[in-house]
Amino acid sequence: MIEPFWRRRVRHVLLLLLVGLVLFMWLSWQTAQLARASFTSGYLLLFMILVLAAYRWRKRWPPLQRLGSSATWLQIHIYVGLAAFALFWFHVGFRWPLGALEQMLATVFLLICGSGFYGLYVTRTVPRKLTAIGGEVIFEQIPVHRRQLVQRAEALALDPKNQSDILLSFIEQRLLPFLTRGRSMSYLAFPNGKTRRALLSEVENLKRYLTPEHQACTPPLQRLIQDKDDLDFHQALQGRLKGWLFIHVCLTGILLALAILHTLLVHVFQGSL
Amino acid sequence: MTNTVKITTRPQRWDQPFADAVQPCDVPSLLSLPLFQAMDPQAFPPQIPLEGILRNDTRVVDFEDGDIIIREGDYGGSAFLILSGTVGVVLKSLPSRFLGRSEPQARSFAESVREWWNRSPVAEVRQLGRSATDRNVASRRGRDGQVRVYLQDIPRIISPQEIESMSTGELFGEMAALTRSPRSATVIAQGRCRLLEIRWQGLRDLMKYSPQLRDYTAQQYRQHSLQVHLRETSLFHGLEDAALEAVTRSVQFQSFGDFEWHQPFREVIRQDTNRQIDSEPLIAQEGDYLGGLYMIRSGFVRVSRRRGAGHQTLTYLGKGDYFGFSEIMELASTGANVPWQHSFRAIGYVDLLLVPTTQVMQFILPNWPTPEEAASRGRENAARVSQTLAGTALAKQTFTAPTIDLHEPWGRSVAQQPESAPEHQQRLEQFVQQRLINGEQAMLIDLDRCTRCDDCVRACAETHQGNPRFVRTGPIVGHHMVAHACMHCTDPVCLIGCPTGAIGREHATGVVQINDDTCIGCGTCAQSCPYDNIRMVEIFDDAFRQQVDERQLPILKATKCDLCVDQSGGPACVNACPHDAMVRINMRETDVLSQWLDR
Repeated sequence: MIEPFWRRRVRHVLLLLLVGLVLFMWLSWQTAQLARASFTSGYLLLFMILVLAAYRWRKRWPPLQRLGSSATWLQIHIYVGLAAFALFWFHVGFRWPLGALEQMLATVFLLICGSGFYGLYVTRTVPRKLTAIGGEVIFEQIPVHRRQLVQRAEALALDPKNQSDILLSFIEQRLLPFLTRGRSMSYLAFPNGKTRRALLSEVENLKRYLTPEHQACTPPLQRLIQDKDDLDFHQALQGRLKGWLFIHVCLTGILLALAILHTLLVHVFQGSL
Repeated sequence: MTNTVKITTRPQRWDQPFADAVQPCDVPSLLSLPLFQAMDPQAFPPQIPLEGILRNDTRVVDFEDGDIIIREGDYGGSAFLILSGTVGVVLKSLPSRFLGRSEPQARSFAESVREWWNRSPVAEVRQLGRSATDRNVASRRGRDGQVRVYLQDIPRIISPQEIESMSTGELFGEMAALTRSPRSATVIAQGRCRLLEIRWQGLRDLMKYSPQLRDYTAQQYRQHSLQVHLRETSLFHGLEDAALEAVTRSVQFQSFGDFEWHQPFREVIRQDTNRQIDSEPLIAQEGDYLGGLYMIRSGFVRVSRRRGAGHQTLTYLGKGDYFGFSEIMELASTGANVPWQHSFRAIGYVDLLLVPTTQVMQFILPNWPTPEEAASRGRENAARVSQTLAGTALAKQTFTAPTIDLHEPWGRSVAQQPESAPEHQQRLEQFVQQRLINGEQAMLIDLDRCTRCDDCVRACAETHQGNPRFVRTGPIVGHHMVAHACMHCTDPVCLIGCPTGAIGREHATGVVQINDDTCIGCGTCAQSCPYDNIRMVEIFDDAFRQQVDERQLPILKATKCDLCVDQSGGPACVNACPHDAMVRINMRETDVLSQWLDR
C-alpha cells in the first residue's frame, strides 16, 4: 500500500506539534525551577544543527546509504529544521541577541532557515512549472541544445526557399542574437515571456511584407523562438532549484563553525571549561 | 516533373538466411532424416516450401566436447536437431558461475567504505583477462568462429547420473523457442557433435504444415509440463486427476504475433494508437462467437472495447491471466450463447492455451467453490462467480447476476475504472503503445516532484565505477517519465543472441545481469533492447589507459542497470531521491502502479 503524501504530511505535522509541546513544557518547567534552560535549549539546538548538517554527508557518502533513504532523511531534515527554528526563538528569549558574535550567529541561522523555507517552496512548485513547459532538458546539456537551435536557424537562412531580404535580415539581426546570447540576470531571477511575445509579434508583422511563398517559412521561425524561450525558462528555473541549495549548503559550514565557537565561549565565560 | 518514387525489389522473408554466418545446410541430406522424411512436402504452400525452410531457416553448428549448447534460464529463439554425436541434458541446476554468469553478493559496510576510498578518478576501469567466474568454465572459438563457453572438467562438476543423453535424430529446445520461455535445462555437448539449429520462424512453419511435428511437440509438452502448468492456475485448483487429465488432452496451443517484435518496435511505436491497435493480431473480437477459455502462457494481450470508430484499451493481460471465463459463466447461467464482450489482441508475441468451452463447463464449473469456500480461500472473484452460477443447473446458491466484467480477476479493475478519467485512459494507452508494460522494474519519475537535482544519477555513478547505468531521459506519460534504465523485462529480448550467455536472468531475484568477465562487447544485447536501455562503454585499465585491441579499436563492454544487487540498501537511484519522485515498479502490478501514480 502506497501512502498518499497528504497523509504523511498530516502525521508528521502532528508528531512535530506533539514533540514541540513536550519540549516547550520541559523547558518551561526548567525555567520555573530557576534552572539554566538556555543551556538545555542551546545543546538541543546544536544537536539539531548537527543532525541537519549530517544530511549533506548522507547524500555525499555512498556507504551511508544503508542508514535510510534520502527521502526519509529529507523528511527528518524538514521537520527537525522547523523544530530548530521554533527552538531558536525560545533559546534567544524571543528577542534579537545583543552580542556581535550572537548577532552574526543569529543572522546566519535565520538566513539558513530562510533559504530552507524558500527551498521547500521552490522544490514543491518549480517542478510542476518545468513539467508544464513540456519536454525534458538536462541542465548541463542546455548549451548543446542552444547550439542545435542556432544550427536550425542557420539551416533556415541557407534554405533556397527562404531567400527573402526581409526574412534574412530578421534571422541575422533579431533571431540569431536571441538564440546565441544568454538571458539577463533579471530574466534568470524572474523569467517571463516578454521577449518571446515581442519576437513572435515581429514575425507576425513581417508577414505582410512577404510573398505567400515566403510566408510559409515563418512557422519554423516561430517554433525556434518558442523552443529557445522554453530552453531559457528551463535554465532559469533549474538554476533557481540549484542556486538556493548552493547558498543553503555554503551557509551550513559557517553556521557550524559559529555555533561551535558560541558553545565554547559560553562555557569559557560561564566557567565550565 | 521529377520522379517521386524509386522502384526497388520488395523485401522477402528469406533475404537474410539464418546460415549467413555459419555453414549452410545440405538440404537433400537433411530431407533424408527421419524427422523430415515423415513430412509431406506437398502440405507446404508454394511460397514456403519445406526445402526453402531448411535452406534458409536452419544452419549446421558444430560443438566440441563440453561446449554449453543451451543454458538453463537463457532465452533463445532456436531448437536443435542432433545430426551426429551425443548431447547431455543436465538434470540438476548448475551454479551460475559454471554457466558464465556472475553471482551477486551484497557488500558489507566495510567493503562499501573500502570501495569508496579506492574509487578511481576514471570511469569504467576494468581488468581484462581475469579468470572467468570459475576455473571450471572457459570460452573458446568454435570452428565457425563463434565464441562458445565450455565446461572443462565435466565429471567433477556433474555426475553421470545427473545427465540424460540424447542422440542422433532427437530434437530439443523447441518449447522454449516457441513459447518464449526460459530454457528449462542446460544442454552440453558430449564429445564432438553436429547439430541443426532451426530458428523459431522455420520451426513455427514446420509445425504449422507438418502434423507429425506438431503432434510430437504437443505430446512432449502435454507429457512434461502442461499438467503442472494447469495445476498452478487458480481455475484448476481442486480438480481431480482424471478431470485434469481430460482437460489436458483437450487443450489447444495457439500463438499470435511476431516473435521478434523488438525488431520493428521503433517504427511501430511511432504509429498512432488506432493504427497500432489495428495492426495487432486479433485473438478474439468483440461480438464474435465464443471460442473457449484462453490462458496466457507468455506475452501480453490488449483488452479493448469498441468506442465510436476506434478501440479503447481497458487493460492489458500477461502470463498467468485468462479470459473467456466470464462469457462461459454467462452461458452456463443463462443457457444463451454469449459473444465476446471485449476484443483481445496480441501485443508483440503471445503464446496461449485454449480450453474448449465444453471442457470448462464439464470439469471446471461443477468444481467451482461456493461463496463461503471461496471467501475462506481468499478468492474474491471466485465468490462472485459462484453467485452468478447460483440458480442454474450448476448452482449451489441463489442466483444474482453481477456485471460480466467481474468474473475474471482483471475484470474488476476494468469495472472500477472511472468513466470520466481521460488522463488515466491516456496513461494506459501510452503504457501499452510504448510496450512499457514489459517492465518488471521500470524506473518511473514523477516530474511534478523531481527537482532535476540528478542525485539519482550521481548515486548510480558512485556505485558503478563512476559511470551511471541509466540516463534521466525517456518517454513521458502525463507527468511521469519512464527513464532509460533497464526495466528487467518480463520478455527480456536482450537475452536473445548473446554468444557467451554473459547476459542472463538471475533466478531468485529476476534481475537481468551482465557478467563483465564473459561479455565480449559484441553489442547484440544493446541492439536488441527495444527501449535503448543498454549501453556499450569503452573501458580503461588500472593505469587509466583506454583498452584497445591489436587494430587499435576500443574494447567495449555492455552496461546497464543491475538494480544494485550488490548493495544492501537496494537501488541507489531510488535511495538517493530526496523527494520521493522515483520508484522501481512492476508495470504488471496495476493496482500498485495506479496508487503510486495517483499519490
